[in-house]
Amino acid sequence: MGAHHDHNHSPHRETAAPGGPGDRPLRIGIGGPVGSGKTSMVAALCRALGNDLSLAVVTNDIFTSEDAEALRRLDVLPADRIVAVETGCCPHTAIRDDISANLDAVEALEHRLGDVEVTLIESGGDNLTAIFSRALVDRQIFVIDTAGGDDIPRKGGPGIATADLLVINKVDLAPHVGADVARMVSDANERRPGQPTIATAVTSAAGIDAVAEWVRLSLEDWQADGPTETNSSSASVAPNALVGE
Amino acid sequence: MSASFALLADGRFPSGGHAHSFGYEAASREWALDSTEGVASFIEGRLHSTGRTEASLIAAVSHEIRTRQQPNWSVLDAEAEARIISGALRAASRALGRQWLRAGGRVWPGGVAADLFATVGGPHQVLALAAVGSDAGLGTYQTVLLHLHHLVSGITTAAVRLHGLDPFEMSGVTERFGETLEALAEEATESRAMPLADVSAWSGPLTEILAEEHAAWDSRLFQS
Repeated sequence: MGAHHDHNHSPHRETAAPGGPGDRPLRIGIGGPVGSGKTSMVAALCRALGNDLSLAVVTNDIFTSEDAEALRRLDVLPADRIVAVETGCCPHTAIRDDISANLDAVEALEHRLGDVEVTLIESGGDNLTAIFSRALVDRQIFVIDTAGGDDIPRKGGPGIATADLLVINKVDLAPHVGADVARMVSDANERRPGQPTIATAVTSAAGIDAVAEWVRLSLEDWQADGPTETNSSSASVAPNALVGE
Repeated sequence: MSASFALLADGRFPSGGHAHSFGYEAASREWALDSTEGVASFIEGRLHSTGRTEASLIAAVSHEIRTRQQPNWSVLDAEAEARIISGALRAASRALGRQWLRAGGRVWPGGVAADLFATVGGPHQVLALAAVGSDAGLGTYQTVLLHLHHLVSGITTAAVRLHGLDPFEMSGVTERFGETLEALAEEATESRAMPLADVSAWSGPLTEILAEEHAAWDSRLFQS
């Protein structure tokens, strides 16, 4: 898009709500508490999907461009496909209440690269109430981890309840921190009936295939049906599946 | 006073300002301004230097919008650009301008802001403020006041977030600058018909230098 560089577009083109499929890439938000593994998840998805799909990443760091730099160091994507947005101490504001800086960054990046199919927008680590605005992303993944406490799915909150995909990460650490993964998954199922949950251990790539597959199916749905079918991708992955253990 | 003014003055209006400290993050580290007096002294300096310039520019652009069929945006933008020395601050001003237009263009479709967003994209903040103010039906004085209010409340909010300063005390600081804001807005409104090229460039060289350093910090919380 980036229609504001094009004088011939109608004034409303760029300022309208997010366009439909074909208009622009699928935008997927990745949120969750600090340290749950969001950046590692983004890196793993780039590795799993980067050869087949044209990806771009926007990070929202608490401190400058820490996460963007980490991703560049990992060399999961060309450096010019990753940009950072600063959020003035308020990561949830930047993805939910005032999305203007993120929209600017996303649109500019997609316009500059020209070939993007999926844009991953990583939120800065936040609390359980943080969700992405529907005007910023088309799908959202919420990442929690076993080490953060196995009562988190039971506590629920907008992030867990409304995400299109819930990822329970660091299942490999569960025995060491006394976390009951099966209980986390069943609590999650109760909080989000009919919506998928995937268990992962991102650092050893366990479960990543299932998350990558969810992204592929979401993209297919997005391209086929458009933004109104927000949850149809969920049905394509086995609902409430516990994968990757 | 109008409901539109209240809407635009509300910090919850999604125009991207929450990620900016308007120079305070850099200045507070350099000069240890992590106290009520420190914050107030920064606001004082900011208002009477670049704040005064911005006020004059907004008034002049508002006047152009009201008196011309089609304002010459590129000339107005160049005049604003000429009064910002630091490249980092120029970028911040354009980012804020784009974000004000994005928000204003959605709230008042088909207005001046939507047109400016479609044609120029990311003009300097003073142009965007004038455009949105015009769409909202604000007068020149109110539009300038709106900008100065966001400047002061943006700084006090940043101080609360950065240093955990007392939010009540910070609101008191914002209130105490009220008369100054009104005086600056009045002054700018009175000289609104002055050719833009003649508008003075009151500036703060140290804050411009600090802005350049701030942009290179490896760990900062605000965009500017």
